[in-house]
Amino acid sequence: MGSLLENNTMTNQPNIHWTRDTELLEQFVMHRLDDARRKELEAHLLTCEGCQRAVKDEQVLVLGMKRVGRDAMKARLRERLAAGQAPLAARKIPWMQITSAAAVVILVVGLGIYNKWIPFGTEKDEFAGDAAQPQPVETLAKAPEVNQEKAGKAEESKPTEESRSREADQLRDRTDDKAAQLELERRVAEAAPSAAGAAAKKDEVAVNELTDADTREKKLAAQGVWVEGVVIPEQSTDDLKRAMPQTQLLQSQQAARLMQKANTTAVTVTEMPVEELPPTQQMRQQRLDNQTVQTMIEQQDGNLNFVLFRQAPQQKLKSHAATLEQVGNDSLIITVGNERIGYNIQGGLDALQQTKQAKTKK
Amino acid sequence: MSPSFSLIQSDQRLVEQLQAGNEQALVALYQANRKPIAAFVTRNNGTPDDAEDMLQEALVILWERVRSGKFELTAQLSTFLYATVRNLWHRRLSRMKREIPSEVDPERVEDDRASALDELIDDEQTRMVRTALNKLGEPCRTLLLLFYWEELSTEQIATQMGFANADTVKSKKYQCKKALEKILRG
Repeated sequence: MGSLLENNTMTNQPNIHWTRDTELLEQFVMHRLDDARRKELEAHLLTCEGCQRAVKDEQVLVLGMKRVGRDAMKARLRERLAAGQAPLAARKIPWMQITSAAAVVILVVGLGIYNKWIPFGTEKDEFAGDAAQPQPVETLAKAPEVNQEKAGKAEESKPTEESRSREADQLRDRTDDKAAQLELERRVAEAAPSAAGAAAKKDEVAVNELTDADTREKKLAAQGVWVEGVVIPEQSTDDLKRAMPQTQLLQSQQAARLMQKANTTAVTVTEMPVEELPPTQQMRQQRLDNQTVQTMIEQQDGNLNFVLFRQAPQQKLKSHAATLEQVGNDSLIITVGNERIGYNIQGGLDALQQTKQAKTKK
Repeated sequence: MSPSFSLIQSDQRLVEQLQAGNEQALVALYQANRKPIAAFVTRNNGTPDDAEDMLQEALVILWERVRSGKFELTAQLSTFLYATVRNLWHRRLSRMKREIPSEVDPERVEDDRASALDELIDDEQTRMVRTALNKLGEPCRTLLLLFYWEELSTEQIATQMGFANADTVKSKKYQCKKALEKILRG
């Protein structure tokens, strides 16, 4: 109540109780008044016990509500944090358990390799793949034979956007499994005690020897990055026709063509026999299925070149044009003739090009 | 050293989220600041639990300031949170009468010790207000909290709670407050 205060000031009546104005009292307690006015009101409080009590009561109410609101907000924040992840205090890494588990795993694997229960190196074995290297969990489909006669029909058999997304999801799932395995391996390696890691050290030395001996791999590694692609099954037009009405089929084909124009990048592809793989990559190849294509992506004159290492390359050592499409944020599909190979690369084409640029600068 | 432009930009976006009432922004701030805060509190006789509590309290203070329009982004949000936690932790230490570490200003602690009894009284009063608010029910509870705690304007409350206009909020707030006082008087 501004008028009461004005009366007080103007008429010089110190006993007019401004605290009876609930709005003014509220503004006073909530510090919403300027300093000059506040001082005037405080001057009256010095001589008025009733007004002091009124201010105190209002303070209890307002501060009480503030604290209730604050507590409620803290409780909601805790709920959100608990829903998202463990709180700071509870987020303790059980290193003892991890170390113990790692020691047991490495000891068993090491003994297995030492006693030749588990073949290591050139012999193909399911267990070796699980223990030593990440391995694709499943194949997407059988590799189609590269058939030049079918190349002309490639446009007809372009997949729909929906099928691309599905393929991207499948690729992502595969890579997630690999990433999880790699992460586990990293943790195990970090946690491994030196005594139990003797067998692993032996393997490491063997791999290093192979790596050092192979200059081609060094050269390739300096030029590009290794990735694993998955052959995507060709989708026949007949299948598509059966799956959807004619109008929808036409629409999806148009959409696929438009998408290709908008989102594709020209790249070159070179096919090489798997025998040309560097030794460590050959070891890896033995643990991969036939549908997984080891690929070196390298930069040539500012363009990307995909070197596909295959069992039976169709056009050995000859570079030919291909298209590269990005599906979602983390999947790339390369189309060569009527064959399509998918790659899961976080960040897609941009990440790939940035990596390449960084390597080139180096 | 002045904060980098990109940090200020991302802080600005977070402040906008807080202004809009997005509580998830607090979670992002918690994640970004938990490590330095934990380091500070544990370095000063605290536990990880203390650190968590302090950071949550500082985040709630930030929320209040932003929501009430009293916050101005002049430094990084992490700087604000760190300074707030430091003050809160000094106060807490003095109440718990733990050894005062070197990072704490002794004069400040002495001042704060005087308020320990007030704190107990405040706790009791807060409990009474909480009980009264719960008895009051909705929409009064929310309306009063938005006005007195978050210090939103009557126009903002009208928009948020779907009242016709600011005058309706004023009138409703008056009724609610009277009802609350009645409950408190018993």
